[in-house]
Amino acid sequence: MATSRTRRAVDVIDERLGIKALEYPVPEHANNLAWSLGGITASAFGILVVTGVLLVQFYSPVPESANQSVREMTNDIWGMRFVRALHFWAAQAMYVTVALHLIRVFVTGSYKRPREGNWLIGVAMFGLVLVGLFTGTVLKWDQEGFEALGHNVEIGDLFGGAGIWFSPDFADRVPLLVRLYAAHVVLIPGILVVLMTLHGLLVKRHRISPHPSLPMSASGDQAPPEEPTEPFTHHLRRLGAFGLALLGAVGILSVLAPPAVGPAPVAGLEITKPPWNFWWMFTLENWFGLTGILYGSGVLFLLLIALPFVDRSPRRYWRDRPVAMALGLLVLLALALLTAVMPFTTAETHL
Amino acid sequence: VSGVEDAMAALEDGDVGTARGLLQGSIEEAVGDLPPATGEETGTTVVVPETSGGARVDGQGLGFLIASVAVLLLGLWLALRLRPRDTVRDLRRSLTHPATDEDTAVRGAGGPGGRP
Repeated sequence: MATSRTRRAVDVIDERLGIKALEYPVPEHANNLAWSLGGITASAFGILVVTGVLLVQFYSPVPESANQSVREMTNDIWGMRFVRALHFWAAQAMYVTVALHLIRVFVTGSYKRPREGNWLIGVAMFGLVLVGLFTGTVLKWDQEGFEALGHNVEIGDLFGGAGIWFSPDFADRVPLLVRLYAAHVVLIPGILVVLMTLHGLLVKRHRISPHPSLPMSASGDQAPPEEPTEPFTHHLRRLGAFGLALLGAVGILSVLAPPAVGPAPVAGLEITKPPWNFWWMFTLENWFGLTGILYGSGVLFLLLIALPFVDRSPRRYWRDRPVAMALGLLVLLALALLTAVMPFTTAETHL
Repeated sequence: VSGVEDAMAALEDGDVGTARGLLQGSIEEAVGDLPPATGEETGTTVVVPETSGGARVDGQGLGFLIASVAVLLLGLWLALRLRPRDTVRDLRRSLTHPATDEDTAVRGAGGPGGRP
């Protein structure tokens, strides 16, 4: 009885909104965890949007009161300590899952023809996640955040005239904090939503990439017609389950390890270290100065952008792509090593 | 400045409460005259120390912890329940060695690689 009522309700909605269009078939391998990492990343983004909407109700984005407003919301407003921690840990989860998704797409050769454009959209979203993490660090407006802002300005200077947006001179009557706040709550999530929509539409257009260890279609870029399929709505249902698990995991971390708020910022000091996501850049900065951050991240993103245009062979199975695998491993090792040596490098003053 | 002088007098009289009120009032007045921070200015007038980021499992925290564990378990249970019928290994086997009618009958009855 309940099922037939649900079906009738779905039929009523479908008649008006066409939601059954989502029931298009996807190959069964799309429902495993590795192929669901993009959807899990979207779940993390959903948690960030909901908690972000709550945070902006109590956050004051002006330098005089930003740090204090973070302290007050976490100490005085019921539940906001948890909400802020949830936002912090969901951001960490998004960084990890987007990186794992990118690695999965690389290892399974899913960026190859005809999916090169969608790979570039994914790389752009990875960059936006990094920018979102960076601006979020600045917003708490403690010593660490203020020093991060200093790097933002100095790296903008390295671009010369092209970096004017990052300069305080661009709008000298407005605090840079307010402009970064606008970027964090409007520009970055707004562009992410647009790119996510495009990403999803292109996945539908090109269909889910084939699993390289399974037989493929005659064209070599699709799952074979013999592979069983399930409706995309089943894929969404499983993503919902993974999303719930993620919410629970970040909730536990939020209670047991909430983020601190550092001291109010003082100009002229450079004494803090960045969040772990940026440690590899910090090591490069200590070795080569501020240009190390620029060139290091530039090389990483150039490699990611160039990948589908350089590696044009149709082979997808990792054992058949020794050069690509070796290069990918080398990049990952370099990032891991630069991250691991950070605690042992002496912090230099660059600002 | 007169506020600070009054506070000093109050302190000398041993009236700490009045002294604190007068000092806070004088600071607010002084800070209120500052122009708002622009550009890269910190806007900092008083440097407050770092807050502790450690766990605070009071009643509220415990409630959120229990709810989070419940949501995690529910998500894991649903993810397991909604898992695909075939693993990649099953798919590889069935796609490279198509099943006979006999195999299909076994899978349909809840045999290896299939759920009833």
